[in-house]
Amino acid sequence: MNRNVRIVSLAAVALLVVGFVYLLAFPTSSDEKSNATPTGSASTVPLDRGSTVCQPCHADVYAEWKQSYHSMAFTDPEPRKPELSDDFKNKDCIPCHAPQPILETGIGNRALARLVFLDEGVDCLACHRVPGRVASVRSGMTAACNPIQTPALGTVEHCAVCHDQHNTVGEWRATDYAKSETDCLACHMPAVERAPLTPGGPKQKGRDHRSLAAHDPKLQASASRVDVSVAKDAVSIAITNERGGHNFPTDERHRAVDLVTTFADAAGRELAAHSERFRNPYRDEVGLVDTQIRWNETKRFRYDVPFGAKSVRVRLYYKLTPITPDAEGNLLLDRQETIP
Amino acid sequence: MIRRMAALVFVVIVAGCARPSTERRGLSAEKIEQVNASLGRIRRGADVDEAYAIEDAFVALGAAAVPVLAKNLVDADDDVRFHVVRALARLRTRDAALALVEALKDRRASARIEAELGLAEILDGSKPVEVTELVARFTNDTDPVVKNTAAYALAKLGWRVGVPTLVENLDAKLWPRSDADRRLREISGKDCHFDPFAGETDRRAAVACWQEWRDGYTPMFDDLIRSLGLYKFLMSDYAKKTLIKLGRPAIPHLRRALGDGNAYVRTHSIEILDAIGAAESLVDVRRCLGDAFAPARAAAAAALGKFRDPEPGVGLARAATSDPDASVRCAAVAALADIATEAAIAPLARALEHDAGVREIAMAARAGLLRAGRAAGIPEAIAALTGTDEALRDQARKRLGELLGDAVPTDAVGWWRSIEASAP
Repeated sequence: MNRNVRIVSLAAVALLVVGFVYLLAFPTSSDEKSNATPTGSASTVPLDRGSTVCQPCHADVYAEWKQSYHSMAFTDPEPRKPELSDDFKNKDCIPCHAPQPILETGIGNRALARLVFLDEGVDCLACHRVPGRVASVRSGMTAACNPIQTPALGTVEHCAVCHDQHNTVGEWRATDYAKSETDCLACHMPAVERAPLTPGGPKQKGRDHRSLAAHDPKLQASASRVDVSVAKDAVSIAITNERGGHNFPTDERHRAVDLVTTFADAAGRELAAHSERFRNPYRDEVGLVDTQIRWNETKRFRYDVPFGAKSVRVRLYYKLTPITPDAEGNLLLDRQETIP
Repeated sequence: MIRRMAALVFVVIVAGCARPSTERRGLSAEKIEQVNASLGRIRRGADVDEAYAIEDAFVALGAAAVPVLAKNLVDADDDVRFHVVRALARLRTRDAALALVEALKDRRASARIEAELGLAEILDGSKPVEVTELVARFTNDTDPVVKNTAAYALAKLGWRVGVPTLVENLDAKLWPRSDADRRLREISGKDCHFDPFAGETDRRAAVACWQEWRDGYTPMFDDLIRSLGLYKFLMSDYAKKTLIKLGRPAIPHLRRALGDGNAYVRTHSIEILDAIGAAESLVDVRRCLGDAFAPARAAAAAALGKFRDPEPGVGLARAATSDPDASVRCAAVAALADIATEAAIAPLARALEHDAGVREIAMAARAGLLRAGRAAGIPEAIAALTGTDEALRDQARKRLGELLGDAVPTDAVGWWRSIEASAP
């Protein structure tokens, strides 16, 4: 056989194998087949009675989830503001704020709204329920909820159902994190060890179900690096999206990061102020452009030192909405330097 | 993303197989000078005809012009970038395609659309879904000309979902309505003799002609219904809202879609029939209570409530108490509460008992029982039960038995009082 033909044949076979494995791992389930109940006996835990049914056996995880914004997705006053969902009168917001079980509506599909236990927001079953059973990372588990090992659980594609509607997963794919398979969970649900189930028993391994993200100042602060260089006549500032695994900020168009630089005289009187905003504007905001900082991108600013300035102060705020005042934003950085 | 990457790989492979072209050699210094001078004219405010003539001249330079044109995709002037994108799209080479990928991020929507359309044409009919989704984003633009461009781009991609937008824009200002008519003629191969300069009254007949064509344009309905199953919310939401706006002409297409293989298409079709108020589809929708996909069953239950299903006992009653999915039961109970006829009372009482622990279901069941029960005389029957007249008590028991069947509670008085206490 000609060498080129052999290479092409091998490549074709490899592609077929990769495609087959992909289909096995992430079946699209908007068709009839995927809605079939899996084999195996059904759970004896009522899986249509909300998250409280999970609490007795998973108290630690439940407690973490209760602290998460997943659990508050429907009750948090912020998305309920009149200019946002208006108390969820805008029903378009409900599918991701109180979703049907994602593994049932299907990876690769959009989320659909649940009609019951809305107050539980993104509840346990939104991520863990498969028809009649509970999705688990591990195999061979036995419990009343009849867990079944589900490879799609906690994958990027699983999170993408809601979190890629604004292309966060697409942004992640363009980073080195994707190449090294550092997925959503690595930063947002890091591995944790919990107390043993029985005294002296082994520690329980799992994932942090607080799902830290836009409300966690520590995580926000870790995403970017700000370098400030002060000279007699000018101040240069460089902000780099160093460790955000996607744009900074990302996802929702509400999120904004503001870089505020102020110059003051010897008495502390403000002489000049500059503000830079990093944000993807709403679709109807004509004339504004997307200024989110791409992964590994550095945005540089240079400001002339005004006459009489003796100090410069650089602050970086993370804001949940573009109309959040500075005082209510998360102050990620506050650096004061003397002008030489 | 995978499709988009596949599309890009396709571009690279196709172009890579092509013979080396003048594109690699580039233009002579003199020609580059001419290109830059022409771009300067656009920058200084050339009129539309001149700008398009300059664009033609760029295309006439052939593939060799691609590198110098591509460099100007970052020009500060919106019109320069717009015409550069169009010229690159018309040159249809590998490097032009790669430059167009960059232009997808242009800040001007019309330049982005032209880039997408150009890319789609270079891809020669492979129609990657991601591209059509990108174009669909601009259907939300506030500028009618951008909307026209988007609608036309979609149609060129074989995705005729933007046709209703073009017909709508026949009522826009002079330029966008003239443009909309031109694009409709190109898509349909038909002429409704629309005179954009005529007064509103005189234009009405031509607009009606286009509306009639649109309402019978099956490919548009097929594409809109197909879009209901797309992953991106914006695209499916646009299709859903457009189908609702189209109203009754969409009904036969939506009824057919209830048997579609895609569960999302079925679910949203039911929701649209509900929103249009297509009561004639009641029997089809009732059948959907047996759909394998729980959200489709929930949508069917909600629609049957809106249609005031005259036989709630046929499907809704069963769904309210026996469906394995709590959201479906909730939708069925809410529908029964809306219908609130005597036939709804027994299933509502059973649902309240079955799902007393599910707040949303219990609330809807109580509200429905209150409404239907008051209309059916339950308060009077309860009052009689507590009275001293034995005959009246018997009559009341009989009446409650008729209304509630095997769902008559042991303590009917306490049961009804708890329902009344929950009244807002």
